Amino acid sequence: MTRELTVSTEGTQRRETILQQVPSPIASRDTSLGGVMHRFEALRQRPNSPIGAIRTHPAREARFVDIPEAIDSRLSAALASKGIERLYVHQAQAWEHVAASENVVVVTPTASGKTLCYNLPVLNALAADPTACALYLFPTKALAVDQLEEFNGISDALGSNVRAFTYDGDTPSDARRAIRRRANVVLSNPDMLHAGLLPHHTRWARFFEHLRYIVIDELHTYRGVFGSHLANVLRRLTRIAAFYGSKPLFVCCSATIANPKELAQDLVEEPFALVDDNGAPSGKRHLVFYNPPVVNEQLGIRRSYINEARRMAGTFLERGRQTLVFANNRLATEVLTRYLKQGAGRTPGGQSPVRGYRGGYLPRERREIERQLRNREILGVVATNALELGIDIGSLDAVVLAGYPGSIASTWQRAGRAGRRQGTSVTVLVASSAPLDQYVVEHPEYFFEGSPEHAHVNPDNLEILVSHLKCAAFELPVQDGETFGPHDTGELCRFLEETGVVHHAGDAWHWTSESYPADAISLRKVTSDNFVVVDVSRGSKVVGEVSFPAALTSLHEKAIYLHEGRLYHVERFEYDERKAYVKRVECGYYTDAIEHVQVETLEGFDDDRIGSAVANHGEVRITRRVVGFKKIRFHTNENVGDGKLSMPEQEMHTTAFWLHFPMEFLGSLPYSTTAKRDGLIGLGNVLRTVGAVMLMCDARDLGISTLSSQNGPEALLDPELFLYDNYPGGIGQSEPLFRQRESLGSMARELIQACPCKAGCPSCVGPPGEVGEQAKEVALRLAGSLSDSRKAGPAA
Amino acid sequence: MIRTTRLDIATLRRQVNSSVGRSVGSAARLAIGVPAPQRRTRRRNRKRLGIDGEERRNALGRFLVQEHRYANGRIHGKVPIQRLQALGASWVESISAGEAAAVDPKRWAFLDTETTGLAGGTGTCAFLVGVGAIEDDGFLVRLFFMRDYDEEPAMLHALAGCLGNFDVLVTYNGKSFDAPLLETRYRLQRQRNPLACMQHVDLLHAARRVWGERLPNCRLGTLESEILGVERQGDIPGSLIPQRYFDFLRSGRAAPLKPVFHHNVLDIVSLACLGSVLMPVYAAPERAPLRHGEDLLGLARWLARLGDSDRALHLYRRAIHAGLPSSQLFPSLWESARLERRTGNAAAQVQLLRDLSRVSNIYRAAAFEELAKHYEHREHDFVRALDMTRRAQRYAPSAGLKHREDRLLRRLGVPRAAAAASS
Repeated sequence: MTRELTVSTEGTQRRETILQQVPSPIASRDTSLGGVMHRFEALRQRPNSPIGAIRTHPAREARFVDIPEAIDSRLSAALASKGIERLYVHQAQAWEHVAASENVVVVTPTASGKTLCYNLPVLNALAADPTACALYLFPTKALAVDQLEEFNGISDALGSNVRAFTYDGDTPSDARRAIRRRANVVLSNPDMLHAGLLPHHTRWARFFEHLRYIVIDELHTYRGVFGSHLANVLRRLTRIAAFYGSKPLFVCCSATIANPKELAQDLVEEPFALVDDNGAPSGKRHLVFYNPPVVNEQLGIRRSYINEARRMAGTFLERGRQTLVFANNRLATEVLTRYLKQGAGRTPGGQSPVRGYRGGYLPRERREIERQLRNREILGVVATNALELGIDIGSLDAVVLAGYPGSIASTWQRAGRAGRRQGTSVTVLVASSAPLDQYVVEHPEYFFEGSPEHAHVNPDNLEILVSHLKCAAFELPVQDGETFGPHDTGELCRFLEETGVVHHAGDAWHWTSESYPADAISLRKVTSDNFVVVDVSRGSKVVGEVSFPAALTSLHEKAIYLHEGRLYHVERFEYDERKAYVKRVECGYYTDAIEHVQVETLEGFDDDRIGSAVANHGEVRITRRVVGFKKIRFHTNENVGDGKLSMPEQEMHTTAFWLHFPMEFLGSLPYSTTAKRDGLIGLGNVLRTVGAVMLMCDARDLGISTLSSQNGPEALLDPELFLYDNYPGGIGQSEPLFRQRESLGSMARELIQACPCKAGCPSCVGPPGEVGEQAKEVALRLAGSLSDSRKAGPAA
Repeated sequence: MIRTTRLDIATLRRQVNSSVGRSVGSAARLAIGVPAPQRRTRRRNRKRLGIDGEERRNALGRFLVQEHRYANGRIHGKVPIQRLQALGASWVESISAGEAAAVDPKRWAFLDTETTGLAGGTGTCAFLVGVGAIEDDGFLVRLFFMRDYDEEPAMLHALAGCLGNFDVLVTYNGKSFDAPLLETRYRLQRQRNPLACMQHVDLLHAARRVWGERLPNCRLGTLESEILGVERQGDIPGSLIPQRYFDFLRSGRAAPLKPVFHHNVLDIVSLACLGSVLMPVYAAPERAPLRHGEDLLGLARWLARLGDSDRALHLYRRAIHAGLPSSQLFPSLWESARLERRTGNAAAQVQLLRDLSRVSNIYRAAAFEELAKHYEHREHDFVRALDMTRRAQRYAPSAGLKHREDRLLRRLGVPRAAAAASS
C-alpha cells in the first residue's frame, strides 16, 4: 500500500513536465461519452500509445418470457403493480428449476434483476403457505439491509402478512425475540448464522421446522478460507434443519466466475442446476485499458496511476457524467477522494459533488451516499470494493478503475456498475505498476478472451473442518456413524476427546466443555488470534488490530506502523500479551521487515517432469522468522538503515507446489551461483504473479521460498522453488497449480519477455536492487526451460 | 474440486500443534502433542459406585435420584424449617404483584439446576436438577442426576413426571437461566417441556427490590449469609462445578461430586427459606419486618412504581425514620415529596421541600422551584414565589426560572425597568 502511494506522490511532483510530453487523452469540451470515446480511439493510433485496448459491447435487447402460470395470481398482480409484466429468461429459468425442486445457481451481471430469481419462488411459497420460512445469507450486513427493502417492496404490494427481518450483530436484543417467534424471511450473514443462530437453534425451532429455502447471494465471495468455512457452516445448517425435519432448497446467485456450479456444489454438497442465460437488456458499453506511460526506463517507473485515474475521472466529471472510481485500498481511496474534491468545486448546496465510500464509514453515512448516487444528487464516488457487491446504487455513466482489481471476475463486476439500460457507458482501467496490472494491460487477450477465474474452496481443510465439528457437537450430539462432509466422524471425535471437549455416551459424542466453540472461530480467516495496537503517546488508546501473521512483520520493535496515514513508532512488542505499544511520530521513512522462510517437504502427493525441471505438489512445513528490517525513505524508496531483530519462529503446515531444478541442468548454465539463485528468486516473483492470476487469489495468498531446510552448499546447487498456500492446512491452491503447470511456465516466460524493462523491475522479476543485475536474464532462461522438454537433459 | 482426502489424525495433531499463532516448542504443543491415552474400557463397566442415591428406571432408561429431607425441627442459618409451614397460598399472588394466582404451598416446586457451563446455547446441559417441596413434616429435596449423557432422556422424563405434581415453579434467576436451559434440553430430547404449563416465580427480582440497595450484590450466596445467616462449610464454588462433572464422566470417580450434590441441596433449601423471609414482606409491605432503611426504601419504590402511593409513602416515611445514608436520604425526600403532591397532600409536600431546601444537596434548586410553583399557583403568594424563584436561580439559573421571575414581577405590578433596578 505504501509503495503505491510513494509512486503516486512522486508522480505528483513530476506531473507538470509529463503533461507537456503526453497529450491529455480527452481534451475536448464535448460532453457526450461518444466524443470521449472518439478521442480514445484517436489516441490509440499513436505510436507507444498508453491505450492498451478498447473493447465495445453493443447494446443488447431484453429477452422476456411470460410470467409462469404456476405463479400465484396475487403475486403476479403484485409484480404487475411494480411494473413487472414479464420475466427475463434467466428469471423464468431459475423459477422452473426451483419449481422442480432443484437447487439452482444463477450467474448474471450486475443489475440484471437477479434478486427476483430468489424472491419469486420464496414469495410464491409464502403466498401458498404463510408459515413457510426462508433464510437469506449475504456476505455483508449492508447488503442484507438493502435487500430487505427490495423484498418488502414486492411483499407489501402483495398485501400479505409476510414478515421479513434482518438479523445480525446490529439487531437489538428485544427485537431478536420477536424475530425468532414471527419471521418468515430472515436476512443474515454467515457469521451470524455460525455464532448466533445455530448454537441457539432450539429458540429457532419454528423457523427451522418450516425452513423451505436458503438463499445465498454473492456466492462468488465465498472462496478460499471464507468459502471453506461457509461450506462447513452449511453442513451444520443442513444437519440442524434435518433435526427439525426440513430439507431446504438452495437458490444461489453469483457474479461471473469460471465455475459457479462447481463452487455451489462444493459449498452445499448437493447437485445444482446452472442458469446463465442473461435476458436483461443493456446499452452500449466500452472498456478501455490505459497504461500510464513510462517515465524512467531504467527503473521501470511509470506515471502514477493514482494521478492518471484522477485525470480520467476528472474528465468524466467535468462533462457532468456520473462516475464511480474504484481504488484497491483504503489509502488510495482517501487520496483520490481528496484530489477529486479539490478539483470538483461545490454544488449550489455547498456540498462537494464527490464523496468517498469505504468499509470504515458509518453505516448511516454509507446509506446516505448510496441514496445520493441513486437520486443523482452527487456526481462522483470514490470507493473500495465495498461498492463492488450488489448494493443498489443505480447505474452510472462511467467507471474508473484505479489499478487492476485483482481478478477478471471482479473487474467485470466493477465495470458492471457503469451501464445504463439505454445510452453509452465507459469503463477505464488505469493500470498501476504492480506486476499483475502490467501483465493484464499488456495481455488484453488474457482478459477479454480468457475465462474468468475459478473459485476454489477446501471444506475438508482439517483445521477448519475440525473447528466446525466442535460447533456441530455443541449444537447436537454427533451420532456414531454420522458423517460431516465426506468423513466418518468417529476418528475425529476420538481426537477431540483427547483434547477433552467431547465425550462418548450411549451412541453419540457429546460436547463437554464450558466454552462456546463458535466464539473462538472467525469465518473470515483461519486463526482468530490477533494483536492489539495501543497508542501510548497520551494515555493509552487502542488504535487498531492486526492479524497474527501480519503483526510479526509490521509491529516488531522499532517498526513504523501506518494507520489512516499517520505514522506510529512501535515502542514495545509484547508477544505473549498480543499487544504492541506505539507512539505517534513524524519521520521520513517506513520500515519493511526481512523475513526468512524455510520450507521442509513432508509428503509429496504427485510429481512430473516439466521441461528440465520436476514439478511437485504436496505437504510442507513452513518455518518463518523475522530476522531484521530495513528503513525505507518515503518518496525515493532509498534504504536509509536497517536493524536486526530476534523474533519467535513460526511454524505452519500447508500444501505447496514446487519446482526442482536438477544439479546437472543448473550446472550447464553459464552463470555464477549467486546469479542462478537471484534468477530463481526472480522466477519465484513471476510465478507468484501468474499463479495468483490463474487462481483468482490475492498474490499474498501464495508464499514463495527458495530456501529448503537442507541449507548449505547443496541447497544452492540443487535448489527448489516453492509456491505455497499461505494458510495453515492449505486451502487447495497447490493442486490446480500443479495441474496447470505447463501454462504456469509459459505465462511466466511471456510475462518476463513482454516486460520492456532492461534488467528487472517491480512489474516482472523485481527491481535489480533487490534481485540482482542478472535476475531477469536467468529467470527467463529458467522459465524457458520449463516448457522446452525436447532439449532437456535426463532428470536427476 | 480439490479435496484433501487423507484424513490422518497424526496430520491433524500436527496441524493443531503448529497452526500459526503458536510458537514452536510452546507448552500448548507439548500438551496436545502427547500420545493419546489408551482408550479406556467401555464406560458401561465403569464404577459409578460411591454415589449415594437410588438408581431409577423408566421407559427412556436409567438415572439416579437422591432425596434429602429437612425435618421441621431443623434450623437453616437463622431460619427454622418450621417457618415454611406458615407460607400461605396468597404468597404467590402478592410476590408476583398479582401476575400469578394463589396456589397451595404444597404445590410449589423450588427448583435449581447444576449445569455444564454458563454459556447457554444448545451445548450446555443440566446434569443435576433439584426440586424442593414443602411437606407436612418438613422440606424434601429430590435430586435428579444423569450419570452420563445417555441418561439425560430418562432423567428429563422423570423430572417432568415429578413437576407434574406442582403448579408453581420457584427459582432464583430461573427466568433467565434455568427455565430457558431446560426448555432447550426438552426440545433437544423431543420431550414435552413441563415448565411450559407452570406459573414461575423468580425470587431474584423480589429479593433485588428489597436488598439491592444495601448489599453489594444479590447473588443467592450473598443473601444466604447476609439475610439467612448460613455459613456453608466445605462448599464448592459454582465455577468449579462443570469441570467436576466432566472429570467424573472421564474418571468415573464419584467422590469429588459429593460437594456438588450438597451445593445444590443447600441452594434449594436457602431458596425456600428466602421465600419464607420474603413472605411477610410482600404479604403486607407496609408492615414489612425490615429494619434497614435501604431495604424499606427498595420496597417503597416498588410500590410507587405499581401506583400504590399510600403504602409507598408509608414505607418512605419508615425508611427515612429508620435512617438512610445521605446518598439515599435526599432522593427519598424528593421522591416522597412528589408522591405527596400526587396524593394531594400539599402540606406534607411543602414540609419535605422545605427540608430539602435547607441543606446542600442536589435537589436544593429543584426544591426551591417546586416551592415557587406551590406559592405561585396554589397560594397565590407571589412575593414568596418570587423569593423562592430567585433562590433557585442562585443554585441553578435557567431560562425557565428567569421566565418565571419575569412573570411574577409582572403579576406583582413591578415595571420592567424597576425590576431591573431592584435586581
